[in-house]
Formats: sequence, C-alpha cells, structure tokens
Amino acid sequence: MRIKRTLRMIALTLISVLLLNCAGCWDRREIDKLNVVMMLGVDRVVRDGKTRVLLSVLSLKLNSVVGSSGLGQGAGLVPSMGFVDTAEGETIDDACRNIALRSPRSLYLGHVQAIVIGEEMARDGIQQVIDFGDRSKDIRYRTEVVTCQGSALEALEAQPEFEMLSSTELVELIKQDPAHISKTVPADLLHVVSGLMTPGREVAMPRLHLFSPPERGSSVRKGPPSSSITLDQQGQQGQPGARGQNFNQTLGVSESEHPERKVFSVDGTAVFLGDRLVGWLNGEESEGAMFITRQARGGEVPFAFRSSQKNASYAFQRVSAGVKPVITRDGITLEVNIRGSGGLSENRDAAIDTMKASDIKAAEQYIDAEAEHYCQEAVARCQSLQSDIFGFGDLIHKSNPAYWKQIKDQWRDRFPTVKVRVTARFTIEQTGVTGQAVKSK
Amino acid sequence: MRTGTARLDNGRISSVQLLFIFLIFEASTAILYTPARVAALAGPDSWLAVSLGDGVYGLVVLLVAVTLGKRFPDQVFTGYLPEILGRIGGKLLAAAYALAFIHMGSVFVGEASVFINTHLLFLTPPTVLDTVLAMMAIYGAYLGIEAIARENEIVLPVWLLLIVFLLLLAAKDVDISHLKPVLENGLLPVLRAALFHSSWRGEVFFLLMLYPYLSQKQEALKAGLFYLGLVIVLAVVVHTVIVGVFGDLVTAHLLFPLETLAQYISLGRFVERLEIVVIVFLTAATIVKLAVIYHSAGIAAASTLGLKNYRSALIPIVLITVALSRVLYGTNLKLLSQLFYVWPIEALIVELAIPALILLIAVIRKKGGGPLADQENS
Repeated sequence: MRIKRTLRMIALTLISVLLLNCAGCWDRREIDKLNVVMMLGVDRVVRDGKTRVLLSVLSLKLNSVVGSSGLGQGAGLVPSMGFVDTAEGETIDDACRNIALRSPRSLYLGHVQAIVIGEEMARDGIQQVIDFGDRSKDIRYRTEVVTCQGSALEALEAQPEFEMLSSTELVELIKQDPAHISKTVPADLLHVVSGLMTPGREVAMPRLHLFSPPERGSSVRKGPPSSSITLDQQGQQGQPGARGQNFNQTLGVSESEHPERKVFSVDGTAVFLGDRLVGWLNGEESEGAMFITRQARGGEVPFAFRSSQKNASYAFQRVSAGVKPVITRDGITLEVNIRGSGGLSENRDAAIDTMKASDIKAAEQYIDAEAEHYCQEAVARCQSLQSDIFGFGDLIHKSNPAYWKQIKDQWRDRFPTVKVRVTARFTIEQTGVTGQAVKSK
Repeated sequence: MRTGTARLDNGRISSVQLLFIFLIFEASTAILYTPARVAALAGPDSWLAVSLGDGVYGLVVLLVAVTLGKRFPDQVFTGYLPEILGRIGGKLLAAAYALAFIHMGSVFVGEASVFINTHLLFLTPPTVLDTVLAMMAIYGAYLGIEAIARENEIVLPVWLLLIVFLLLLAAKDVDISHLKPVLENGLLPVLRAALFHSSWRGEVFFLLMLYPYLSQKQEALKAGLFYLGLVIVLAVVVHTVIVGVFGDLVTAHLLFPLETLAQYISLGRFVERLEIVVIVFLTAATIVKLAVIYHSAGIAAASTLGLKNYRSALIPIVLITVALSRVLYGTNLKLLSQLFYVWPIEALIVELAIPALILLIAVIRKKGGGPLADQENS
C-alpha cells in the first residue's frame, strides 16, 4: 500500500515537472522577437586603414494589425515593406551580431532568399561570404547569389518595381531569366560552392545592375528626394489611392530633382577566377555562356537577314547542347553542338519570304551564325579573363581523367589556348499567327 | 524455465521484425554520418564503395553470427561465452562486450544529440537532448525486445517511405555527370571507403544478442540476407542521389549531407523546407536503435553478473552512456573522429574478429550443438 502511494507521488511529481516543459523549449524564438531577413548584402569597407565587413540586411517588417483585415494568418501580423539595417564588423557573423546593437530583434536567416555581394568584396574574394552561407544552418543552398555592380547596400536599398520586397523581385528576375531571356547565368549557393571547390570550373553569377529609372512616371521617382534607408515610407506612398496624385506631381518634377533611389536589373554575368571577381559578361555573351552550359531555355536572337543591320528576330524555345572535348597533339578542342527550335518573332520590311523554303533555310543559317557568334564571344571573353566558367576542365576530367591529371595544375594557363568549335542548328518551327509579313504598299 | 533465465527476456520477435531492426540501424545514424566520409574517400565512386565491400563483409559477419546462434539457440552471446572459453575467460569477455555495447550506446547518443544540436536546437544543452533521448530509449529497453520490435514496425516503414519520397523529390536535381569519372584513382580509394562503410553493415552482429528471441530461428539467415540486399540498395540509392546532387567534393565537406539534401529540395518552390521531417524521423529511428543497444547492453551486463533481471542494469547503463557521450563525443569534432577513425577498427574487432574466433574455439572444443538446435527448430 505504501509502495503504491510512493509510486503515485513519484508519478505525480514527474507529471508536474514534465508539464512545465510543455510551456516551451530552450530554443524558442517567438516570431515577434525575430528579425526575418530576406536578403543579405555584404560589402567591404575601409575604416582607419582596416578593411571591415559592412553587412546590410533587408528584413521583413511585421506589422501587427488591429481589426479583422489581418486575422487568420500570422497571428495578426502581416508583412509590410522591408527595411534595411546595416552593421559593420570584422567578420560577417560579427557584423550580424552587431546588428543587435541597434535592433532588439535577433536576426533570423532561415528565409534569406538572396545574398548580394558588393563589387569591392567580390574583387577581394568571395570565399568569406560563401563560407558564411555554407556554414550557417539556416541559409540554404537554394539561396541565390548575385554580384552587384556598386555596393550591396545600394542594391538592398533599391526599390522593387513590382513586388513588395526587392528580395522577391530579385529572385523572380533570376528564376525567370533562363526561360525567357537567358541573359544571365543564375547561380544558387550550391553552384557557387561547387564552382569554388571543383577543379576545372569557375564561378559565374548574375550581375546586379543599379540605375535610376529613366521613365518619368516611375513609381520610384515618387520617393522623397533625399536618400532614406527605410523603405517603409515609400511603401505607404505607393498605395493605390495616392498613386494618381503622386503621378501628376512627379510629372512636374524637373530632372534636377532626380530621386536618389534606384532600381535594379539582373543583366549580364559576373565572372570569377578562383574566388575573385575578374570581369563581366554582357547580355549577349551571357546568352552564349547559357547555350554552352545548357542552361538557356528561351530567349531571343536578333539577326540580319541579307542586310547590314538586324532586321529580323528569332525566339528560341528549346535548346540543348552537347560539349565534347577532343584532345589531339595540337591541343584541346571543345566541340560544342547546340540544337534548338523556336519561331520567327519579327520580320522587318518583310525581308524573309516565309513561303519560300530557301528563305527559311537561309534565315536559319543566319540564326545559327548569330548564336555561334554569341558563344564565341562568351568564350573569347572568358579566355581573356582566364576563367573557365563553362566547366570545360571539369568535362575533360570526367571524360578523360588520365589526360586531366597531366594538365590539371596548369589548367588556368591552358584554358585561354583551348579551341572551341561551336556548331549551332536552330530550326524555325513557328512564324507566329501570320505567315507572310505585313507589306507596306 | 532455465531457458527463460538464460535469455533474461521472454519476448519473441519474428524474422520480419528482426529485419526491420537491422534496417533501422542503417536508417538512423549510418545514413546520416557516412555519405560525407565515403564521398571524401571514394569520390564519385561512392555508390560502388557502399555496395561491394558491404556485401562481402556483411555476409561474413552474418554467417558467423548465424552459425554461433545455431549452436546456442537459447542463449545470448554473452551468456554462452563462459561455456566456450571457460568461466573466467568467458566472463571477462562477456564483461568486455557489455562495455563495448555501453560504449556504442554512448556513441549513438552522441550521434543523435550532435545532429539535433547542429541543425535544430542549438541553444538547448546537449545534455538535455541526451537525457530525453536516453529516457525514451530506456523505456523501450525496459519493456523488452518485443515492445521495441513492435514500435519499430511503426517507425521504420514510415521512415523508409519518407526517405524514398525525399529522394524522389531530390532526383530532379541529380546531375549524372557528378558520378563520373568512374574509378579515376583505381580501386584502392573505393576499397578504403568500403572498409570504412562496412563497419556499419557489420552491425548485423547484433544478431548474436537477438538470436534467442527469434520465434522462427531457421529464418535468421534469410532475414539477414534480405537485410543485406535491402540495405545495400538503400545505401546505394542514398549515396548516388546525394553525390549526384552535390558532387563528391561538396558532399565531402558537409557534416550531414542527407539533411542538407532535404534542405535543398524545392519542388515548384512550394514543396520546400522538408529538413524537419528528416530530423523528426531520424530521432525516432535513433530512439529505436538506442533501445536495442540498451537492451543488449542490459542483457549482456545481467548475464555477465548473473543477475536475474536485466532491467535493474538499465539505469546505470543509461547514466554511463549519457555521461560518456557528453565527455567523449560531446562535439561533432570529437564524434566524427571517433566515427571516422576509431569505429571502423573497433567494429572490425567487435563485430567480426572476436565472434569469428569464438566460433572457431566453439567448433574445436565442440561446444554447443548443431543437432540440438535442429531438434528445437523442428
């Protein structure tokens, strides 16, 4: 009887102790105590002769909502425009911690969608940034990595034109690029890490280009003339109700009162040698690189059809490429075979007679030549930078490991001497909803 | 009743349950810790390394365990050691095995808590994680092998389904060219990796401690062979997908490639953030594995000390494992050096060398009888 009672007492004590545990756990992080970071920007700055890291974070600002509008989701918290915080530190994580000096909420990196690397930092070496992202348990390999022409802080402060957050806009820009334009080489963290580690392959990532919007009616121009870090005010002004009024006001603004706020485009590719930024590819070169690396899925090839200027345009839809290294005594040749199909999307002055098979055939040849030209330009540019972003070395490693062993130590010197033979075969399969072009009388 | 005391646990498990227990050994900690090391050693040939060597080594260990089990169908390994080696030598070796099980238990505890600590609960003191895991496992061990086997019947199928699901989702990111070139540096690195990885396959030697609980003893070999076949398929697929997605260099530098793989999964940018699934089910699987090893350690200790009840040995064992894992394997650096450099050698001795030697001695000294076993089975 006594044993039974003792046991019962023990059980009761255990239950009450365990109940206490139910209240939460050691690692609880309440959502209203978190600074949910959407995008990281890393810059290198010099202070008193010492280089330091300037970290800027674009975080989600959660506004608590009173009333019924925000009920249901997020426990009454709705996301508004992001805001930018900056901090300096000796290392990136040091800077992350230093943000706590001014922000009462701890950084939460689990939602980081993109890491923006400033140009200075990139030229100095990105290994530090990549190691930070790679090591963090929160930042995932899907995170997009981009290099910004200029400072990353400016990129984070830039105004999104369509989405609420510039991180969303940036990621969408990168994601849709291969399908529609193919003018930048997308790279998520995994690909950057693997590009840094793999011998015979260099890192390439999208270039972020900042500019003031030339359009006079741009919503960005409605911002306050002086630069301001909080995008929040901007968001309130951007409400639909205020739009028309602001638009008119903007029209009255003279060009001298140019807004400081910028927008960004993802355009071209940053080329790295090792972990250092060595140069850029422009849009066309990037398109060539996208062809060779089999990442292009859709885009445009304007071409000149029996003319001195580009008078027709071709939209490709499906592209595949095969790269074969051929090793002879003279050196290494890479045979790149590109196959693709698509449609004629423009035919100025009715230069191409779509009813004539010979014309179509000739047009296809012009397209092929143009695409090959893109590829050759990309290769020539990368060869001048010594940077094998196509992974040709890796390809040789995989197809001919014995030969790779001989050359792998001098691959960076060998790469510029490699011959690349590009053969493109594009077919015109569609001409839009018309056949013949409009002929003006 | 003599057999009852010799086995110390009256539970019975079927051969399918035995198969499941072996599978959970692989699917709990091995799947998590081995891919990085195998990729570091064998590079793109990881899939080869985990198939060939494992098969051979696993088969040898299995045959030794089954043959020994057949000779002493109603006793656990530590129970019949004195019969073979004489009282003092046998007891000493049995005690050594009890200690080896305790040590393995502390490694498993460390494996689970380091993983959870790295990826999920990094503020929670690891001691708390250790204790909670050990408490759940000890409850299973307390209830006996039958309860553990039944729990495992729930955990393993769900976990295996989830692994298949995860691998299918990850499959679209597989780049087959990451598996090339094949055998770049010859067979030697692959063999080294195989030697490393097969120490996990050798965990089939737990059959020595589980054999008496089998309800159909003649199916032990069949279950073992099924295990080897299934587990090799599982290991090959897991290693292929991981190396196929990340490439061997990136895989080699990760701590938990499987977890990172789950993080990387993104289907239409909608099916994402599945890593928590991995954590939850790996924890569940590790608890089963821990329970089995606690059970074996308890039985080994009890049969060595001549206790009537193995349950009284459980509490000290758990305390020792938690303390040991904290001191020896508290951080991933310490843990990985144990797993990567010590465990393969330890495994070779504990799993294969000693049991094989014991079998040899038993055959020479004509201890234990095949005929007896046949009688029991028929």
